[in-house]
Amino acid sequence: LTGEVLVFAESSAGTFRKSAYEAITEGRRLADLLKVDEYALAIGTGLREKTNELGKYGANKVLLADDPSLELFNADYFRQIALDVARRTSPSIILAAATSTGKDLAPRLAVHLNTALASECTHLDFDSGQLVATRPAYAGKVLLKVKVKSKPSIATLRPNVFTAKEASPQRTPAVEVVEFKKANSRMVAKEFVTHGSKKLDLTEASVIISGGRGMGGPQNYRILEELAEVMGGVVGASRASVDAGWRPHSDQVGQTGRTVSPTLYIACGISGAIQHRVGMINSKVIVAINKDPEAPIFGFADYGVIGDVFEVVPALTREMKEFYGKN
Amino acid sequence: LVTVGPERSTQVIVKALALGADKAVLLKSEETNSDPGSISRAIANELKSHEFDVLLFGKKGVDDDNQQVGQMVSELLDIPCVTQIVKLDISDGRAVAQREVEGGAIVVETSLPASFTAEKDLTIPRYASLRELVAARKKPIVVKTVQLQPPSLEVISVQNPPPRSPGKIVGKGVEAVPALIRLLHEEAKVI
Repeated sequence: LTGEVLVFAESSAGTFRKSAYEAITEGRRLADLLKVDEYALAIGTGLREKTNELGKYGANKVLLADDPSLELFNADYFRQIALDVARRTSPSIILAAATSTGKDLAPRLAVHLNTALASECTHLDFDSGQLVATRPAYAGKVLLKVKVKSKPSIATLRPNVFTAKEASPQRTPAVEVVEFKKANSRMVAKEFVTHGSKKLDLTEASVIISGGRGMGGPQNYRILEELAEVMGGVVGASRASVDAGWRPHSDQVGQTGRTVSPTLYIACGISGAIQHRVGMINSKVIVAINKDPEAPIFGFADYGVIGDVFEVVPALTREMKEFYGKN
Repeated sequence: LVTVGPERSTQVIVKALALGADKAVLLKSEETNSDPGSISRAIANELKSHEFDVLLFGKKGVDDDNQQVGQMVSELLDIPCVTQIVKLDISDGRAVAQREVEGGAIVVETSLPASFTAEKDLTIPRYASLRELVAARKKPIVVKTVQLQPPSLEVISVQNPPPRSPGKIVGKGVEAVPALIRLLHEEAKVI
């Protein structure tokens, strides 16, 4: 079988990312439509024992580059490995999650394989054998349908939009080890530095508790951290609070920050300006807590509570703690 | 400063010149070809005749949000490229950059020449003074007409995203909290 679907399965510290399973699941769907095999490309360290995980989500085969030097993303190494695999196989489609790594890597492959790439897709389809992707543009203000007219057609998938689902049947994928030459790097990925204790990124979180100007100052984000901890979520911020220096830019949700699509987004003291809205409008459920009943956010939140965040949020934390204790 | 676009791009070029660039090249194309591959090949082709140590790109355009051109140009020129950077130090012919990634940043050291794509936090764009704006009009802009490679990525439709209708106001203040939790659990089924 040729024309397989090749999916880059991103990992972090020896574990595949959730967005990798989402991409493998979508890749399986496309492979079934095309009646071809799905190959997963795993690059990282400590992944040898984990390849069966990719079979669970549908991969027929895993191409594995596993080496301690691949722990952090190094574009020179990853590009070299992915290109080698893409050229040795004959994929009709290449998928990756639209993470910092996927978004860095995919254009490099596209240009070397003389093909095109649809970025940050939210839906994939075919039209007369060509890949048609739906993707947001103008920071989410419009949805574009784009056709990739060249092969292999490459697409990156926005995290949290596609659902990771175990395949039926599950497979025990064959593993093919990919060699690479370490000397061919002009760059060194030296270290990973964290902004704090936060492990999960906003783009991957299923619960986000976001704070805006209504939080009044950096010290008050503690109440959001507490709610996030109870709910297993992550704290985000509006542009106003980032510009005020209360939170780092990496926490910013919106046009010039992260675009998120969690299951539950709780906006605390956020007015809901357009530039914030475009970053979180694709959340499954939006809750707004704001003392201003006229705040634009109530115009698109699913549930609104009119009230002071300093009263409502601690009460929510207490009752959520009780709720999770029972459920 | 190099850009691809129609004649009217000179307006934004003048603004950029006022912010500090010394000269500009406009690769003029009146086509509405927004395939990043086509754009990147035009830019790379132009840059081949220039000498440079550092190439800076924004991480993505504010229209199509493709986030592809910086990496593509760098691959075509065969130079290292570090994307989404929030910090950049250059000394002794090497660069150390921090690129923002999920949950933190990766410190990357690279040889030069190299290219970098900027994340929002890298710098704070300053405002150009009136004098700088006037001076910018005297700086050279070289206009070259280019033929873009036919696009492999074609936009076939533009739609408005599905509207999101307002939901319900659960209530006011602390008293609304039990009802909110019940709705999230029983109606929305998200907790």
